Amino acid sequence: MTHRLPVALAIGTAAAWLAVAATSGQAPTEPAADARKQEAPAGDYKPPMTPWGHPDLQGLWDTRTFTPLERPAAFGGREFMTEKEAADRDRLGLRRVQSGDEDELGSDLIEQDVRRYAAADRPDDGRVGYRIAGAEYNAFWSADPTVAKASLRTSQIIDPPDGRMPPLTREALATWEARETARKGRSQADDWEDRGLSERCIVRNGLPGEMRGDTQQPLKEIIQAPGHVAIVMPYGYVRIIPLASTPHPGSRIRQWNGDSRGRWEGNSLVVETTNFKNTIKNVVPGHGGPFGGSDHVHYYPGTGETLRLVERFTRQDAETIEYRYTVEDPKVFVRPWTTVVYWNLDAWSAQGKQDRLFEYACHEHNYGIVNAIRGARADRKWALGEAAREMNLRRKEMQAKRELLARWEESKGR
Amino acid sequence: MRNWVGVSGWIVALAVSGLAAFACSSGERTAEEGAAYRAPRLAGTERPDLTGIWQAMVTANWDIQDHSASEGPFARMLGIWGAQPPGQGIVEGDEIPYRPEALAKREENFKRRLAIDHDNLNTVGDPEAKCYLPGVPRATYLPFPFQIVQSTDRIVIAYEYAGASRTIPLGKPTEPPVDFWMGWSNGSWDGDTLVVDVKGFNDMTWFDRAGNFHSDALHVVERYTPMTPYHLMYEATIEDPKVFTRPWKMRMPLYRRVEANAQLLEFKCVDLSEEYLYGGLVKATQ
Repeated sequence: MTHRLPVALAIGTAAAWLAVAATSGQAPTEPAADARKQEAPAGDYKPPMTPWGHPDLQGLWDTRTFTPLERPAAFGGREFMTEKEAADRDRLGLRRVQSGDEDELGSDLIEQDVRRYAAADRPDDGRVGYRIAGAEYNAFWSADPTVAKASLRTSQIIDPPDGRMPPLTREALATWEARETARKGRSQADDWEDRGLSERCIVRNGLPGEMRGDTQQPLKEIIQAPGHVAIVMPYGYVRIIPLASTPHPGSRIRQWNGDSRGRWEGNSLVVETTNFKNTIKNVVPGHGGPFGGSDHVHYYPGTGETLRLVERFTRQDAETIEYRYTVEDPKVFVRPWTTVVYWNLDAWSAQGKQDRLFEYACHEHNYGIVNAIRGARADRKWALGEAAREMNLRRKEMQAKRELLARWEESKGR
Repeated sequence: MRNWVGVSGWIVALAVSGLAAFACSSGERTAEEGAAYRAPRLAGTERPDLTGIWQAMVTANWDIQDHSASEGPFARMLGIWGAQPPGQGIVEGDEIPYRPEALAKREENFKRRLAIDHDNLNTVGDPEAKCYLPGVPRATYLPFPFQIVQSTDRIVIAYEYAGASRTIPLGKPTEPPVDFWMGWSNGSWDGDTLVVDVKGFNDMTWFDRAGNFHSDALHVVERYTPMTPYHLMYEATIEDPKVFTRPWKMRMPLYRRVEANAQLLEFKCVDLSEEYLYGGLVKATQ
């Protein structure tokens, strides 16, 4: 099957089946009114406890969000949107036109389905256009977005208070420039290293981005033991977080997903992660380039080596975990930044219809890389042209980042 | 027993090894042994707590049957880095009851164990060389540690190799909805023994580098029994009527990694396999 699909979709059949399982049985529901009050502080809520006395976070959690990473300009300084704005957003659903960090590949596919739907002369029932007859081809890859509860937050970023990512440092911009220079004259797939980490099945988005669910793989599973918290990640690994103050491994040990230590602070699980590899995919959550799910086009270079990620998991009620993280990477961002999203207990699993995540097995069926390399050789002129086009898009983004840094420096009188 | 010194002397405290050798040489766990050792309980429950980092110390990943030392496939390049260490097998009676036609496939597998066919990447050659998910039971005796994290109603086993993992619910067993590289596990307790029933495999994983294989009819029943604070006895019953004439068993101890800083590290080997998997595509046209 993967022979015929774009590389970005070269996932295992098990993952596809999960998408079907997740889409086929759940009735579409409007986000419940009480879901909008997720922003309320946890207050007096007493979480269930494990037999050994830790707050119980266990279960399968839907980790998707409709909230964009950065606050769209339309919201000005507002941290929350109105109910009316939320209703409009819900109707648009996965198209997420407000989102600055949308998965554009997913988006485009959904829009294809929406167009197909419109052409099929079916009445618009007000639901997201994707979940309808005629949309099966692309919907097949995606879990139903209409079941995800929505927050009124206008951005995942809550600090800085403007809801925008802080500027990249000069050093990070220089690293990025050096990367672009090094790629000059290379085609889209002269060899496998011209493809992105997720297409190569090495890392999907990296941390913390991968903590946010996407349409293909919304779920995370949390399993607790007295000395550990395990988070089963949908893209092929388990994060094992020792509840210990033992030191991280030495700085010579570098890992794609870093090295985590956890502790309980009241009812919150606090996880600190360091020892990241020097890879740009670590710092930006779920950021697709112009090719969406493909991470072939990178917008944010990172060092990883100086990244310190601090996450905070707090159960807010029986069906909700507040998930926060703070990114500190002084080589890449001029200041730390913090996001908050809400994980919702997966209804499908809570009904007993699914008891675990499915295996991802991406690399095991990755004919996409074989075909990309063969394709780039069959028409190198096209492959060079596409690579140049992508580079131009990145350079535009880089220029915007330079201007952002300049404005920030000016505001600080530097 | 076995070639512990040759493989690795660094896993288990020497003080324990005498006891461990005694326990596993007896094979079956006896009532006396069960009475002699009672594993600590998972806090607040009556179940033995198997949480820990464990590792087999056998050479079965080379060959699950008895094997002598031999030259590796690229001796000219690798010296003895790639040589096969000797080892006694883990298969009960050292016999694998292949059907006659299956035996021929095993030989073919061995001959082509390091072959790359870009149109049949996932069906030709040893999956381990390609950093593919290892399947069960091979994941258990790869030369990498694995970690058991145990909760009240489920267990997760995370393997260092390739980031492979299994979630093992301990409730009502469920049927595999599709095929998986790592199979579909259902767990239960038989006294202090964790029993894991695994079905729903595809036919692409192998048992070892010698080409021992199975079909998608594979059914594995694993037993993990605490023997001392420092080791479990692992037993797997293998059933696959398409490939074998009868069920057969393998058995080996699993040792606790007792280093103060013991933890799984990342062996996401995909990027280490790409030159091997795709290098031929690039060179072929240059």
